[in-house]
Amino acid sequence: MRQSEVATEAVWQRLTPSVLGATMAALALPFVSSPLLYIVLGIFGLAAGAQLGVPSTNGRRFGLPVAIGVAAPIFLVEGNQVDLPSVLVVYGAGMAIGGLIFSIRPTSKADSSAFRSLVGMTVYAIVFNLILRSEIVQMIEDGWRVLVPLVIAAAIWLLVDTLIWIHFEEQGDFRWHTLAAGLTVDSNVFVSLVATGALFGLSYRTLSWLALGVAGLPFIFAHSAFARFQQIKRTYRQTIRALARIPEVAGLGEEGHADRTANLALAVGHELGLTRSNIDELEYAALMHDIGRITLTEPAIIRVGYTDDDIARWGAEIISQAPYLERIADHVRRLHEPYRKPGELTDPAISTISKIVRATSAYDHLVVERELSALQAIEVLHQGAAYDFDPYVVASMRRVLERRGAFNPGSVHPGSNHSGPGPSPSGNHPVSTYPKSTRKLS
Amino acid sequence: MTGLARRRFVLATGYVLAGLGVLAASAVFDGRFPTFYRWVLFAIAFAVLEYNSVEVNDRMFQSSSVMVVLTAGIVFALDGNSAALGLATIAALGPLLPDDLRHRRWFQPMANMGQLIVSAGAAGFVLDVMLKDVGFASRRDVARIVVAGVVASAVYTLINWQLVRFAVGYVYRTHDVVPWSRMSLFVGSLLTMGILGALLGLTIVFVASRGDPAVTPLILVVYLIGHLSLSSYAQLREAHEATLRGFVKALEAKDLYTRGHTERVAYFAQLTGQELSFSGTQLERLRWAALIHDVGKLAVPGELIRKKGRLSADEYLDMKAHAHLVEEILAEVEFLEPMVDIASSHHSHYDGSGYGGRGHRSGTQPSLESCILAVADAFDAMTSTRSYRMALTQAFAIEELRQHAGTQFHPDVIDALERGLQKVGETYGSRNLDDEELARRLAEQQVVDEAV
Repeated sequence: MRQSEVATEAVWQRLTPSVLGATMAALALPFVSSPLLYIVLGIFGLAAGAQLGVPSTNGRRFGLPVAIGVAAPIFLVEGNQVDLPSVLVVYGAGMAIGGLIFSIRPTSKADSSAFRSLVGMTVYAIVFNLILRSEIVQMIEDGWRVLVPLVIAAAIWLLVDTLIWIHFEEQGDFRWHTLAAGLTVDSNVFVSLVATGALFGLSYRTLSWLALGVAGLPFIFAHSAFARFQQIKRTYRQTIRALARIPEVAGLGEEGHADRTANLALAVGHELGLTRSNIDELEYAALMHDIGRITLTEPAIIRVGYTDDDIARWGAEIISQAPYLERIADHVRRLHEPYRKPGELTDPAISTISKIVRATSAYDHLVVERELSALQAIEVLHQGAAYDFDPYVVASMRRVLERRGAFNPGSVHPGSNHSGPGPSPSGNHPVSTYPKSTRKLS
Repeated sequence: MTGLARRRFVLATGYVLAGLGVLAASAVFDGRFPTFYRWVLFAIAFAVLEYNSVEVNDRMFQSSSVMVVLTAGIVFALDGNSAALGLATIAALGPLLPDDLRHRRWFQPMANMGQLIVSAGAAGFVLDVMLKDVGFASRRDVARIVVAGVVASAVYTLINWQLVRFAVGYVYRTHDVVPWSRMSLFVGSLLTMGILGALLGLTIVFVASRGDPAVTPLILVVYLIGHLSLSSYAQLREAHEATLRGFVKALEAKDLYTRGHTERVAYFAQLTGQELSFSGTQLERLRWAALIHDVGKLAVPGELIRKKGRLSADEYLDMKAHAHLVEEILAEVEFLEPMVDIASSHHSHYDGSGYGGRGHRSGTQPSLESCILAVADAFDAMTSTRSYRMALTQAFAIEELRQHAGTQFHPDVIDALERGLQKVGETYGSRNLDDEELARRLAEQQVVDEAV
């Protein structure tokens, strides 16, 4: 029964932008006054553009519709104001067709992109028109005037888009830091699309269809630069994950521990509102926190014995050999220092990242190695809170686990259902692969 | 003055003189200086992009300033002024990086300034000639302007690249080794940026002069975002390689005897690949494969790697597994897939026997890259001291490789390695130890001595 509910919701979600768009186009149609050719071409352009996304950090968050949407009101200007009904017909019909094609394509995943585009561009066109007609803007010199409504309306579009994005991605869990992150993370892609669209709209008057090349070439250049950047970023993360697995492949650590720790640590990091760059550092530190175990093949070390502190130190030594990872090495180095020692205050030099990795790694050990339930494990951590572990981190972890339903009686294992914004660690191990017994050094 | 310092001095002086010559010639030949406010605008943009240039490697900087050069050149030429003079003067300001001034480095900025003036002046000259009689540009001239832009950007890119190549070859006496093979990757994007610059210049002249000056800031935004994305890509690419390299080095340090082995094998493989006239991409792939070829060994117990004396049958099996482990560890890194194939069969034999991983099928000849890696690996193993044996002479190592040519090793690859080593004039291994049994006994003797 629940499944059919989900299916109905998915169908509704897929059809919403098309129904909304078609309604809007039908309502605005009687008031159209621009040449029919432009309107038809605009609709086709949008419908085709809606199939293309631009590679960005949050998947394919923005697509070609942004550029076409920006160009439309610049294009369809009559005197000192935009021919708003024509623009709305273009938007509505274009996104209705484009969204429909997108949602029936077998490869596409249902997402909010068509809905966000439609709402965002409608708001943009209305604001653009309002500002363009205002008396103050009319005083600006002719050729420069368009920049003012363009910048303001585009900024409002980005804000609206981010709010809807957060609503869909976070299941309505709004936080100020997610708004700030959503506004900044992919803004370069958005700005380049806006500039490209505006460039086309402005240069069309002089260059006619040659303007397509003038605006299209920079766009292709920017697009390929974004794609290359995302690709190398993915490669980098894959490499780090691969290197982090060396101790596990060698049988010196539990299988999947690094991945599960990183997964939970990321969720806690988001919950605590870490900045973007800190989130990246947190992921790398969590993945590599046990790399020092590679040293455990040394007979001398096995004979003498070692502590967790030694492993952290050896790990930091290995990581610091990579010139760009010095900060990660610092986080790993102080990983096994307790939150504070009895009778002392906590050392401010220990980073939040270290504290998060320390707590999440301990949790994973408790659940997988000692086979405690999520509730038991978090209780053990609670007992160590304020001495062994940072109480804020433990509290945040509890909230994360609660949201994931880890404490529900029927829940199998907490570590594997990641939700939330940002990079979802691609290595979610299915529950069945968790080893019942772990390989340990004798 | 040492040879290097003298060559630097000669080169920097030569380039600066050539640059000044081009400046003087363009001023005398056609002295119409561009509209001043436009010149200032483009000079600032050029300096900013030069300053934020992308570090492709430690000795070479690459920036997207070529876009500015082309845009400015088209604008100047269409305004009816001298593009050669305008571009040469802009280029003269570009290379003054604060970092260089602070460190009192003079060679690189001076040589850079000289070569930039020459290439920018040449590009400007091309535009001047090709757009001489355009006058007030109309839509009919669009095709011609684009062609002129493409030619100018090709001229700029080629002259620039050849001058830098010559400078490095002359001063450092190196052939096209590692970093330069990667240059070819950037030529395409430089050319594209040149064409883009030309088109944008055209837009500025057309659209701005007909009532829409607002396109200029929009174009600046496009510049900026395109450049920033490209530079963050290049940075991350560097970081990625540096990370893998650093890790391999750190993990190698577990064993005193194989320290530096990976870097040496990469170097030998590179020499061999160049002798076999590999392309830049092939060389890059070879280098990566060499870099990761022993990653699997990191997951093999340390005592086994350092074992003195010969391995037992069981231990040999364990050791064999390391070629497979590299696959298991790096399987998820899509970018490294072809390199992993090469690396995992570096113990396969030329005649199809031996052990190897996914890329190896018993009875078939391994890829040429794998053969190169196998020879480089064996060569370094013989010419460096190991726990069980002292280093042997290079002559002995080559002779030993020849003994197994056609069965274990690829005969052409051995020849290529020998030629490559001769060309760079380097010799590896011990000076006089060419008896393997003696080398083993000496190593054992050393252990006994230490114990006593």
